[in-house]
Order: sequence, then C-alpha cells, then structure tokens
Amino acid sequence: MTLTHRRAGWLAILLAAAFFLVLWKTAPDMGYTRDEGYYFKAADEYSSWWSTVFSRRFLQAFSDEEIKRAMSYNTEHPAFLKLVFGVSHAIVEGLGLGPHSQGYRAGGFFFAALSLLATFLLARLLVSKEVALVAMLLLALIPRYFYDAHLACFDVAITAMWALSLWAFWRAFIVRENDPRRRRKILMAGVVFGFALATKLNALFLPVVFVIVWLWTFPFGQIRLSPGPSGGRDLALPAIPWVLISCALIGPLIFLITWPYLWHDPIGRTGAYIGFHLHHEHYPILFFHDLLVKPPFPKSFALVMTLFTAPLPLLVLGTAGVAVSLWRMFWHRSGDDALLLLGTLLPLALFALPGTPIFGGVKHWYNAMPTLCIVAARALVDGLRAIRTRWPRRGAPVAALTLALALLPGLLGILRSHPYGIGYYNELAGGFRGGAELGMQRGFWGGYGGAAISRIATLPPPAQVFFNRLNYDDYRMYQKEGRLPPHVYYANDAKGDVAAGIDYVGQVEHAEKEGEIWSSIGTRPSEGVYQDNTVLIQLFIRGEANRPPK
Amino acid sequence: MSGESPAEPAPLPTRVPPSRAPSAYLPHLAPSAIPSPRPLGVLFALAAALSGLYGTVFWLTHDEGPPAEAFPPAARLIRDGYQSGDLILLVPFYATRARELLGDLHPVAPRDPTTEDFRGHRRVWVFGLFGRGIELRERLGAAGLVLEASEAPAPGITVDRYQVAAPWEVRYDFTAHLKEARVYHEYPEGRREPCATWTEKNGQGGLYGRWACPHDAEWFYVAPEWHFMGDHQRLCLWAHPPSQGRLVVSYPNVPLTGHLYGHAGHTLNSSVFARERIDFDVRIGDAVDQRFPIRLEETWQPIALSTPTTGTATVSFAVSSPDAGANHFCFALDLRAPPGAP
Repeated sequence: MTLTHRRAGWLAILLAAAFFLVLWKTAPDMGYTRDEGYYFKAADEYSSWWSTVFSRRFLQAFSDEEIKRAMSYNTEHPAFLKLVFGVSHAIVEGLGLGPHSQGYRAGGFFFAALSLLATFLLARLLVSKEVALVAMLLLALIPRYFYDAHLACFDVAITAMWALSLWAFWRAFIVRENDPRRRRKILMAGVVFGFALATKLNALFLPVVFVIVWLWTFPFGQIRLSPGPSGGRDLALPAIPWVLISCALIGPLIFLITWPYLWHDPIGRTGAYIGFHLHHEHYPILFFHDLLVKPPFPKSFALVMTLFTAPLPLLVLGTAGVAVSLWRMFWHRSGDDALLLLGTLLPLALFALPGTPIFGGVKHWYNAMPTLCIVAARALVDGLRAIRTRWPRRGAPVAALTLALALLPGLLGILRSHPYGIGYYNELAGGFRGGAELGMQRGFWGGYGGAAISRIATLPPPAQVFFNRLNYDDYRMYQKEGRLPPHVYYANDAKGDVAAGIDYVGQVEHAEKEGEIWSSIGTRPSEGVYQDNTVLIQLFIRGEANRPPK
Repeated sequence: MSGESPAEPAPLPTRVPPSRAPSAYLPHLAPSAIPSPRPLGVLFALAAALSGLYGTVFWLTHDEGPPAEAFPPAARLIRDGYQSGDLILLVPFYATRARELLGDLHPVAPRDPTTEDFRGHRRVWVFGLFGRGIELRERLGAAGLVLEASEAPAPGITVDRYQVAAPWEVRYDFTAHLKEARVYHEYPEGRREPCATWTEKNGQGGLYGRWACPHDAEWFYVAPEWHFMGDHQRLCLWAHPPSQGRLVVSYPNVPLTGHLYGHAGHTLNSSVFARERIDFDVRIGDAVDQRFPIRLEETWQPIALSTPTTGTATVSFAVSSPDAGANHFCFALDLRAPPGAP
C-alpha cells in the first residue's frame, strides 16, 4: 500500500487521537503537580467570567472590575489556556466523562495531540510525509514529554503552538505570489502566532526565528542602487515579507483579545507580565550533586539535561540531523534548515545564558523537541531509504527493525517510568538510579505525592497532614474528587501536631522539611515511592514513625 | 559528502517534487527534503540501530533491585542482632526503602559511607543493594572495620556486620546533655544575655528540648535537631549565630577524657544561601579558645581537640559570623576515650 499524502494525513490524525486516548487512560495514575493546582483554580475563576458574559449583565462583563474579579489570579501567564482548561472541564463534567481533574487535563491532552499534529505538518512541509510520521512518534515517545503531556499546564501546549507557528510561518513565507490561498496563509500565520503568544511566554522568541530565517534567505541580489525621482540614487531593498507584517500586527492583537485582563491597561499589565518573567525567581535545582540556587548557572545545563533525559536514539539521530542541517544551512544556504536549526537551538540556547532563571528542568525547552524530532526523523528515514536501496532484497525487514529499535527505548522508558516520568533519566544516564548516582534532581512540583493519598485517606480523624510540595489547591482537588475525606486537614508545615508528612526525599532543596518531619513525627517512614529502588518520596505517620514496624 | 570540493558546493540533487520544494519559490534556497547521500544514510541507520539496541537492552535488562517483599527478612537480621550504639549504613545512598523497616534505629545513607565516624561505634551494619555492600567491603576494611558476618537474605540484598577494630568509648555526648548547659548571647562589649527559656519542643516541633534566647526565639536558640548536613540528615545542635557577638553554649562539670571529637558545619541550604563563614570557638576550662572557621562549603567538617584526661571542666562552644544572615549552623560533638583508657 502506497503512503499517499492523504493517507499520511489520516494516519497522523489517528496517531494524534491515539495519543489523546492514551493520555486520557493513563492520567488518573498521576498525582497533581503544584502548578496544576494553581491552574485548576485559575480555570475555575477565569471560567466564571463566561457566566457574566452570557447573562443579563453582559455589558458589565467587560468592565475592569468584573474582569479583575475573574482574572486577577495568576496573571503571570496569559488567560487563553486557563480558559481552555475551564472549557474542557465543563465539557467533561457536563458529559459525565470523568472526575474534575480529568476535565482540566483534557485541555492538556488536546494540546499534546496537537503538538504531534503540528510536528507532522511542519515536517511534511519541510521534508516528507514519511519523516513527518516518524517525527510524531519520536516526539510522543520522549518519556518526560509523555509525563508532561498529561498535565493541565503550559509547556506542552506552547510546544504545540511553537511548532504550529513555525509551520504557519514557513508555508506563508514560501507561498507563491499567484497562489489563490496566499492571503489566507499569511493571515493564518499571524493568527497562529497570536495564539502562541496567548499560550506562553516562549512565543516571544518566535520572531527571532522568523526574522533570522528571513535574513538568512534574504535575496541580496535584489539590493541595488536605482535612479531616484529627484535625480539621485535610491537604495532599493526587497520588500519585508507579508507574513512578518501579519505576525507583527495580528499576533499582538490576538494576544490582547484572548486576555481580557489586559484590556483596560494593556501597556501596564503587559509590562508587568513580561517584568515578572524577567525577574523570575530561581528555583533550586540539583545538578551533579550541586544545589544550584542563583546565577550564574552552568551554560551546559540545558544541554546536559537534554542529554540525560531524551531517549538515546533521538539524541544520536538528532545530533546527526542537526549536523546535516548545519551543513545545508551554511553550505547551501538552506532556509528551511535554518528554520529547523533555529527552532531547535534557540530554546536550548536561551537556557545557556547564565542569568536565565532555571525553574523546573527540561519542560521549559520542550519547544525545541518538535524540530529536533524532525531532523532526527529525517536522518532516520534517510538511513532506512539507504538500507532499502543498498540491499533491495533484504532491505525492507532490516529497515523495519531499525525503525523499531529507534523507537523502542523511548517506549520502554515510558513503560518503566509511568506515572513518575518526571524523574525519568535515559539509558545514557542509567535510568532513575543513574540520575540519582549522577546527583541530578529526582523530582519536581509535588506530583509524586499523589501516590500517598490513598494511605493518608485512611488516617483516623481529625488528621492534619503536611503535604509538603503538594500544594493547597492540589489538596482541594483531592478532596473535591472524594479521594481525601473531609477530616484530613492541610498543614502548612510539619512542626505542629501533624498526623503525617510527605517527604520528597530526592529533592534536597527541601531537606529542611525532611528534618522537620523526622524531628516532629519520627524517622521511620510507613511507606514510599521507589522507582528501581530509588527513593522518590516517603510518608511518615505519627505513632508509627518513632517505633519499630509491627 | 565525500568527493565534493570544499571550495565549491556540489549541485544538489533534484529529487524533491517541485510542488513542495521551497526552492521552487526561492530558487537560491536549498530544500531540507533532499535525502542525504547513501553512505551517510547507511551510517545514520547504523547509528539508529546501535543506539536503539543499546537502549532497548538497557531497559529490558537493567537491575531494578529487589522487590518490596525481599526487605523484611533482611531487615529482621539487623533488628534481631542490633545492639545499642551500632551504626547502620544503607548503600547506595538513594536506595533507602529499608528505612521503612529500620528508620527508628536511625540508619544513615551518605554518599560516601567510608567517611562516617566509625570510631564512635562498636559495630557497623551495612544494608546493601545492587552489590554495593560487597563493593564496600575492601574500603571498609581499609577504614578499620573487620567483617564479622555476611549474609544475602534475599536476592539483591546483602547484610554485612562489621566490628570496629578499635572502638572508642563515647563518655559524654553534648547533644544529649543540652539541658544541663547554660546558653547565653554574648554581646561584643562583653554583656551576657541569658537564653534561659527551656521548652521541651525544639524548633522543628520534635521533643528534643530547646534553650531559646529572649528575642528572635523562632531562630535564635540552641536545640538538638535533624538537619541536612551536606548530603544527609544528622541529629546535631542547631545554633544560629547572632547578628552581633556570639551565641555561647556552656556545659559545666564535663568529665574530660582526652579527646573531644565530632563534626560541625553549615546546613545544605546555608551553604548555598549564606554569605559568610561561621567562627566556631571551643573552650575547655581556662584554656584559650580554639577557633574553627567553618567555610560555607564545609557542611560536616571533622573537629578534634585534645583535652586533659582527668577531672572535669566547663566546656563552651561559641558561634559567631561576620554576616549572620541565612547562616544555619549545626554541630555534634562528644568526649571519647581510646581503647584501654581508664
């Protein structure tokens, strides 16, 4: 069966849908992360604005007072995704398809599936449909990405919008003058870029990619001195591409439209939004046994973390693909390779700046992954094609085996790390144990705490529990969904008369809390979460923690 | 790429359908869709296959360690033979499931177990996973431990019992005797302000006791607490330096043994957030202060001092710093006697 353009498209849609379903099925195993707690709450509050819009108080909905009532929480991120999470929650709840958290997270699943489709579209446009399908699979099978794809958070969503923006930009950039859909493509590029801006801050760096690609492909031959109307000579420059103008005009407009909070003070509040991130606090992170808390951070941080958290075949093929792109970009002045390279290297390079706040590990440069997967897939497909050409008889099964081998480590990594994929380290690092041996961060954001909920729910009333990195909004969600009984109270530290405490053992930046738990409750945990016998969290229960086990 | 002149780019093959090739629109551009030359392609395939094979074999064969049910019989070996004063080591440092079964006996799981203070214990148990207990035998032997018994109670777990070759006797533990100490804030001009409020709860909410000073009592106190000293929680005496002067912990009538021994340092957070060293002064009787400057990177610095071998004296520890901000300090010291000492 021939893989036609159309069939490839349907296959891509099927793969994306399958990814959505897998995420839907596996999400309930995963605890809620700290940032999810904030976005659950934000989604509820932001969505309450719709009830004013669709009411007799319609006009009041647009007053600053009403907008601030609904949207003054979590203004460090645009409103768009929080509104999406609110809508997906309303749909899932309305149809009775799952618990509340599943509803918010469904918005995340949607963007995760979209990230695969966007990768497909970009790869098909730049390379081929075969490469596009392989790139989708490579992206879906990055274990850390798979973990984050479950969450009602921003990083996978911006990855989708980043890739989609690159695709929309490029197809508008190369469109023929006489293409009947030219205008639509140019407008679409601006709209997509606008939604990327409305998704997360990373999109602010897309214009850097767009402009550099334009300059790289700049038709210098069209620069000339021509006679001017006054008899002098004018410098004639090629026109600025319409797609850049579209992005410059429509992008900010969409950003503004989708974020009502900005409407009454667009300059001041946008400034505050950007200012927040320019001065973002530095979250501590463990890097080769060193606790990094303030700049200058190692320039190699993003590169090393990628090296230890992306499946080995993706690293090998991605390196080969980047090398090929570099060669093509500089030797042949390839514009699309420039796009692929910048799309990959810019997000990583930003974290090589020693002053860039590091606050959460690899998810902040996920937007590099679609293009990395594309150049990797291109190298792989070139390899498979070479095998089939070199050995026409036996080539097909060998190529199939090679493809399977390239994908298997990612798949096995997911199977072995779920639902604790945020602590995954690859085969180069030595898995979870290897990550710990190397002295790398074992976890973030409190998600592991979900594994202790069922035990905490059995504590006799009243039970005040120190949930540690699992925040109050996560706790509220566990209660709202009935996973925690009402007699379990949220304690803000372990020093008081708490009934239990969760110790995030591998996160030494919170070791002070561990000391408080040991001191206040006792030194023997009742249970824990261990991946390959590497400790991730331990639960200490008063009365049990200071005496031998039964 | 072989055979191409570095000075003159070779013409690109034209196997891309013109309808999709960007070069069709911008002729000076080279499309990324053009396949790599076949030898390079074969190399890529080989790299994909080999890296994939390595990754696949890794995930299918890597050692996950023993299952949860293997731990109780191994822990029972230690619990049945445990004697007061024994030290339990869990290796490797990140594999601490055994704490669920032995945590009340305060096992330690440092990155380098050989740097532990073995002389203060008579026996050492090693609960080892992933063969680390076996790997450690030679190094522990070199550190003065004699392997007495070794068992493999479950696949993947070893339990070793060592005798410390020449254990010293701890005769006075300053952490355990805190309640007998006088604590005061000594101002630069010499004035002394007693920190005389004793509470049973330490600053972490545990029932270990605490002497608190009259002001800033939430951090300005001395108490036995668990703190992360470098790479591990240690039970030690928390003592935050004051902004001015010194915080002094003075123990009267301490029986001298010839050797004051122990560790002191910044907590991990202090080592990365504080700005200045701690000056740790130790005074024994009427002798002059012995100053130990503890730099920020020193999180569990060994300290040893000779004392008279007979009689009693007041032993004082004073904590100060040129910049007290975020300077979290903890120490654990004792007086001990070598084997055969009266």
